[in-house]
Amino acid sequence: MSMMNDRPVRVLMLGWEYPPRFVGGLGKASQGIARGLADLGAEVSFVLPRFRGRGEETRLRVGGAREWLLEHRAAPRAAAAATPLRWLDVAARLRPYARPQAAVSPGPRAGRGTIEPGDAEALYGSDLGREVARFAERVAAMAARLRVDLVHAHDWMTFPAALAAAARLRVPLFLHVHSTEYDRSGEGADPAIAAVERMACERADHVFAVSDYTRGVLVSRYGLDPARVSVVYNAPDAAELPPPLPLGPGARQPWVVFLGRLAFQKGPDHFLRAAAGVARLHPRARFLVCGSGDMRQALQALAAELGITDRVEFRGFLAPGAVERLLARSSLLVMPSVSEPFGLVALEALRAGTPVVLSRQSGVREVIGRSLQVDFWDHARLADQILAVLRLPVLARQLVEEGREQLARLSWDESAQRVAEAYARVAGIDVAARAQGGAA
Amino acid sequence: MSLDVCFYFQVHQPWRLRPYAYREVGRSHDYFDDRANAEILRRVARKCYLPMNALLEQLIARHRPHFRVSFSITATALEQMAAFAPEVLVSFRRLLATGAVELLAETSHHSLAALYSPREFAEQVRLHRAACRRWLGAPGKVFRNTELIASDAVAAQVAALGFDGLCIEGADRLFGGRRVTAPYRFAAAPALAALPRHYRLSDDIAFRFSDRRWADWPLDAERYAEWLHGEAAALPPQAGGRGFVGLFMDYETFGEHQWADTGIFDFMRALPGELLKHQACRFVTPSQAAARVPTDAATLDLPAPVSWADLERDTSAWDGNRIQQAALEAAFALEPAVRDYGVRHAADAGRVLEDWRRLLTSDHAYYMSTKHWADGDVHQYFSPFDSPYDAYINYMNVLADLAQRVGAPVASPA
Repeated sequence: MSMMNDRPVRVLMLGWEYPPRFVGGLGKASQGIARGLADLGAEVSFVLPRFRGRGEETRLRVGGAREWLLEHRAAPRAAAAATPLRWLDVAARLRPYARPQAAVSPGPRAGRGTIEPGDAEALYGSDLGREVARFAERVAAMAARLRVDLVHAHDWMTFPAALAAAARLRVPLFLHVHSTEYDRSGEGADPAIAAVERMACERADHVFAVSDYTRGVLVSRYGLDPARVSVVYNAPDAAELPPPLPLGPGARQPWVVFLGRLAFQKGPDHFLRAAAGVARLHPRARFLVCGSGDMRQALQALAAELGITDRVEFRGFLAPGAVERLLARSSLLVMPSVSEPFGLVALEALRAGTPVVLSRQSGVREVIGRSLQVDFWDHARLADQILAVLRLPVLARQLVEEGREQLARLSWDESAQRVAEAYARVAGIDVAARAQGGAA
Repeated sequence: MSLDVCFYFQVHQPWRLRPYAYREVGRSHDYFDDRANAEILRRVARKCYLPMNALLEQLIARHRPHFRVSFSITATALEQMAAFAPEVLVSFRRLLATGAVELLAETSHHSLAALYSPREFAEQVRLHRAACRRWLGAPGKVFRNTELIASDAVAAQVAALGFDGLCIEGADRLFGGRRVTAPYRFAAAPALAALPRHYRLSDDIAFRFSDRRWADWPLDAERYAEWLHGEAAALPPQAGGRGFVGLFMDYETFGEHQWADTGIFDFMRALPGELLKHQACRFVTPSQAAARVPTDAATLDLPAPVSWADLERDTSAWDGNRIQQAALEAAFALEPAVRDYGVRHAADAGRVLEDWRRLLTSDHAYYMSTKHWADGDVHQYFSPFDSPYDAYINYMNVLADLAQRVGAPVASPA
């Protein structure tokens, strides 16, 4: 074994969201994978574009440097050993979605200082193509000064940067697809973005998909060889499940929650149509639409058209802490997505002891298979399921018990293990063995 | 040495529910999926009931008077045959007319009443007898409870109704190392002979016959007859050297669960002849078998219910989770209101009672089982629902309407 191989495996990981700055599941999922790999003994350098704007330094508690290193506090169970997860920040202007959608919100650890919801445009800039290119340039320039064993990138915004870095470093490239352009935009997919996804996935040494559902999209839309795509499921925040919060009429409000961007693929309109069916038969049920996005006005108009304006609350974007508190008081979370690569929010609900109804067009149903599921278009069936959960406490209780049983089998360590297996299989890079070698 | 071999075939079809939404409560009292029920019954008739009845009739004629079989046919199945495929009833009548076929007694609606309501249990036993008499002929004095569910309490109820024998699952735990082929009575009801199912030999036909990973695949009648002969040869000379093997299985084994192209019909065509080559083996009906159990036979204790379902061989296939328990309790809790309604509304009483009884059929609870769900097991194979939860929701919606009809308090969302 060469000197080189006695060192821990060094991963250059590229992402565009990371807690406490994140808008959806991507930030949390990227963090989970990064922490899991660090736990396995890899040295992970997580690089993401950063908006150099007001509040950000405060929020990240850094003092104005363009590039810095942060000793990252890894998952609590690994806290004893100094974790080798490093944080680098490259200045670039990006916005995470092709259209203005959710605002960035401070996470639970932000403490002081906030970024106002609603200024996503200001935060992320508007010329997406340029921002992607700039990020790629900066990462490539940075890569010249790095020594890493492989590049692992999360979602299409980082793929050009990942291609450039891997080419310059001559190391294997692993791409992690949390959603495809077709999930985000359906048939209205942006051909340029789809082309980036396809081209990058074709060139990568290996691709990770967050579900078999997403793997299927990659195979059917981009013609990828199924053997080059492995499924790595997302997991709940921490390995330890908190005790379930009480269920039942005393402990919970008759609230039915939608939680996600108000965008076509999340199906908020289907939520409202089912809600109308429930409202007629359940006088106390209320429907909470949590999230922001470009459909908000249309949804408010739809609620009026359905005659349920007084039963629906548009709560806007919720910070993570507020999400937990809301879920803990609600009776049910409905995820009516038209296309959902995974659906981390379902895991969050189960963590809070809240039952869920899952879209059949989702990845999370592959890991929470024993669950109540529905086709997003079947509003009558969804209404019946919602009514039943509100009406029959025994059903709610069993849904939570069985859901949490399945949740307990998921962990980021397990998911990172799948990633490490692929590193070994595809590129002969053995994270665990080299972690031991480095320790010796 | 002589081994009594008893074939008993279970014939049952539930009245499956149609998709019934909560918004229909109070608006529609039409609960059952006539189309699916008719389709399934006709399919099973074509693939199993008719060809297998014809085969058994031939075999009885060929081996007369040595080949005998028995059936337990639920009233829900009989009524669906009458409604959707009357030629099946004709074919069963021809079988009964041979004199070599016995009917077992059971509950009319394949219910779990024995565990929840002794009164309803007794009524369903009476209703079953009446349905058998009406369509085919009277059943004998041996009883089989739904899914072979038996316990000391069930045995006591069955004995109190005047039966001579009770079919049970030959679960190992009942015998404490004793032979399943020996004669037994029930400690809780000594008047009742126990007829245990030999689960290994029964499942060789019912489950393993077409399993290509099974070491004994492909099974032929000659080898199977050898196995039975082996059981006969192993009988101890004391106790008269007599033994009993209960080969109890779903009738749909033939042609429906095991398709015709597996050779299951050919196997059965050859089996009586192969078995009768062995002097030690003979076919008996359940009544004959019960009559041969000495009054001083060893006794069995069944403190907890046993059944023939799943690996657990208990009642957990129907009451193993919260939603199943809640559904069963809710259904049986309607009994007083349903009966009271019948007293007050004579004209509608029959329909309400029948609707309620159809909801007591064990299949509805079976569809709600979450055991081994992930493995895609038989519960989901048989279920018309997408998930056990959807089965529960649909059932509770229907029950809410029935409760409203009879004026019972109903769990309201408000």
